[in-house]
Amino acid sequence: MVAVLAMVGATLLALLVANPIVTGLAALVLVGMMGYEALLVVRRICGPTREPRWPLTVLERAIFASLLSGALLIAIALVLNLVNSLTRASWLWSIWIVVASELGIVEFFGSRHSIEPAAAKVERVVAEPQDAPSPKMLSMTMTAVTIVVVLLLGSAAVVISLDSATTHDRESFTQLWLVPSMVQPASTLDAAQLGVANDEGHATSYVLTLAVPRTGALLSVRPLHLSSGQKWVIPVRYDGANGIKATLITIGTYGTQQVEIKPTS
Amino acid sequence: MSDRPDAGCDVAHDDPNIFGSTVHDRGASFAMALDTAWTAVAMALGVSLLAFGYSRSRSASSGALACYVVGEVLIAGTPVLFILRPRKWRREQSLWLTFAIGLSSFAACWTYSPTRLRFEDEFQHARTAQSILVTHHLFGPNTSLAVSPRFPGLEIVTTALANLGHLSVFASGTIVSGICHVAMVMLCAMVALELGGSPRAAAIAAVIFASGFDFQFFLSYFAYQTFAMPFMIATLLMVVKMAKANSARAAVLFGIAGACFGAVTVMSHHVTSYALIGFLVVMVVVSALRGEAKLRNRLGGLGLILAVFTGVWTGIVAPRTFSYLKQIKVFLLGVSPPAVAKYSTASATVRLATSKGLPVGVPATPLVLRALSDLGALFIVGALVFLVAARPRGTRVLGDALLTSFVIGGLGYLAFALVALAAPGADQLVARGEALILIPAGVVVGIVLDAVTPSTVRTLGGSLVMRSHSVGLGVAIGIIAVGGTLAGWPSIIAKLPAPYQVAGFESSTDQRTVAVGTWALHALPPQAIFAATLRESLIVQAISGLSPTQYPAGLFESERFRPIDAMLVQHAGITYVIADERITKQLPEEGSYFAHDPLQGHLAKPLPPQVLTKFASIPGVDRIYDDGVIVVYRLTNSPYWHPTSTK
Repeated sequence: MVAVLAMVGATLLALLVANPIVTGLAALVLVGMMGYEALLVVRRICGPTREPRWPLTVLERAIFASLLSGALLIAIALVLNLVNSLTRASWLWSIWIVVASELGIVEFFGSRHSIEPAAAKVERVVAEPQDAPSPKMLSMTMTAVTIVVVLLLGSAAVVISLDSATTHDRESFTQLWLVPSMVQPASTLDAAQLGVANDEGHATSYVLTLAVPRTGALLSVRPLHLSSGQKWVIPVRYDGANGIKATLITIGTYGTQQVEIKPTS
Repeated sequence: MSDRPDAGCDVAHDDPNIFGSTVHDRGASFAMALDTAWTAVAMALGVSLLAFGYSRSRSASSGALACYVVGEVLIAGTPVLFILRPRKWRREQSLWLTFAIGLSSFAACWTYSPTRLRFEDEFQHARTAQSILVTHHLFGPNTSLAVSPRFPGLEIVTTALANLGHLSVFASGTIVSGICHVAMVMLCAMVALELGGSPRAAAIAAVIFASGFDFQFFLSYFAYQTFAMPFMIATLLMVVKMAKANSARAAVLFGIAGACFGAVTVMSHHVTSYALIGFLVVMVVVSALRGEAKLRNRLGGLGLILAVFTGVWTGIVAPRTFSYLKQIKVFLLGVSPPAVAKYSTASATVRLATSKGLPVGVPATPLVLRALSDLGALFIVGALVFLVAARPRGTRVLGDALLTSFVIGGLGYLAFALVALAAPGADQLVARGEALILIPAGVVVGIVLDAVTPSTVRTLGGSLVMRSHSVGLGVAIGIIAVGGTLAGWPSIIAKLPAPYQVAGFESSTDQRTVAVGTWALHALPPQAIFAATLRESLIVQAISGLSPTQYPAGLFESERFRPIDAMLVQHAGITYVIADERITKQLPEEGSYFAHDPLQGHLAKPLPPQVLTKFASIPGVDRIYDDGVIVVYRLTNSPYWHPTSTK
């Protein structure tokens, strides 16, 4: 129990780290532990029945632990939704309380109906004389080689997919918009939102011009430099009777985009 | 399951360890390790080939389709060869195989789109998840799929992981969907085992379940049915265990477990929970008809609890479910077009410009795939009919209330086959239902096929007749598995993730479309109605919650703005037009650019550019968005739009 609590503590500490891979794994461990402890609780409670033994393989345990994790998370969420909110802190506290409660229950029921790891039993069964011929060694070697090959093939699939998705499955474009405000100010000028978003995949320079479509008058010319993924948004005021037009020229490609709010009359 | 001692395969149940090596025969142990090795390597190779094929399609290189086909055949066909190999079957072998099926199948879907969501339903659920992350509360509104927040099982677990692990919704959703996908196949096999099927029967059941049209992709998506399915099957497993329990206490404990898993199913997906209740009703009726009072009471008690919970949940928490599910009627019976439909017409000029005067077909599923798929379905139907009509020796399927219930549930497959034939427009509906029906059908057919074909251990040394039985079994399962997988979702025109295709299912979900949807979410009023192509309508609606008009074609299929188009704008209440210039450069892969497209089946050339450029010259129409390819027009200042316009 101390070891499990230490593991919970380590997981909670890991969750404080800002690295998403570390915290993601820690979250999975914590949630998985909650489900596995729930499985232990269920099996301890079910143990004293006269039911024929229901052996669970490692995979079955993993599946039931996952389902129990899901069921417990949903139960916790329904409670939190009523009494508090589903923030990170409330999730952490709730899961910690559930895991601690499960550990307490398992300890309470004692080790009489322990479900010791199957691997330990198997080790006893398969123990063979030292001088036995080694088909078992062959099997183990083959299993190890298989795992390595499968991991290599799986990793190749992951790398190929991620690489091709990030390099080829993306389009380069820039979004330009000019949207009249839903609530117009109480003034003679109308309000709109002008925005540019760089989805080119690299830093890009632009020239943005604002003009009056009715008269052709140029209101402003400004250079813009946006890093990849950056969004630039400003409010603009314009005379609704004359309208407003924005033109964006991408430096390098000379691609031109245009948005326009037409004169109202 | 089997009465006769030699039916099915030799089974060694005594080893609970998946990696166990307690097989007493060392040779058998080595053979098993060898079988496991080549199966695992072949399936992993299949996934790698698939990933390579997808990668080739993204880079517009040759060989993509060949890699895809070989990869899928390896993924779907290898388990069949594993099943046919002679061996002493053990429980953990069938579970290992089902784990491999689930994992490779999910990997096949993940490699299709490893960095972002792709299917429109996924965006709808991501919206619910984002709402929970932002508001920290459940049941917030979701205008893109109003029922989604009311069945929040998937989103709760996803946001819990996202919250705790600083993960994105995509990352945590992928983890949750992956676990659910693998779990549902394994649980299907566990149900078969629990019903008395041999490990080989369980493996066959899982292969048949995994051959479903929607299994590989749709049941891997970040969508609520993916989450509900394993809980539904786990409920069935607990129900079987409860029914078989020797003591009242054990029955109560398994009943509680069943009620808990059933409750999660109810809170996660409407149709799945209704299927669960329906199945429990069948079990209760069968046990009552057979005079098995104890079984009837146990099943009836649990069924009543879950039925009441379903009624309460649907009635109080998710009352919109009823109106949402009315679309089933539309799928089956069609619907008479509303008045606005008459305003959505193509102009004569555009008709002439795009048509060659002859009907134009759309890419159909290749005949070989279609034949394999139909033959697979026929084998399943045949096995079910054979079971009921011939009651093969070696099975006592109709002598057991639980198995009889599964047979009746499985016979639903016939009903769905008939619906598929009678209502071709209901293919999506049939595919969704098939996933549910293949649980009992797979279990029963697995048990039957295992029972009526002799053990391969004996077959290989046996008579010609026995050999032919084994070959027949292999051919039948092989066709079911490979045919079902290759002909399944996504459609033939979107089997490869690239290049972008106008109206090409998932291959139409590119970053521009997602970007315009995301922009609309933040920039446009949520109650607005817009007109766009079919796929853009679905994606933009799923992301932004704006409503697409169901009759946009007239606006786009005329070279000038006509009075009838003004009527369409007014009567449909269209505020925004999303104009994608790619409809003037590519033909629609699905056969039509728009929902209810009057040019469907006649498009031989893309639409002329004037159908889009005309919008710029309409008085009062603002051009409010431009990404170089997609332009959004706002109609609110035009003389044709009225604030009172409603859909």
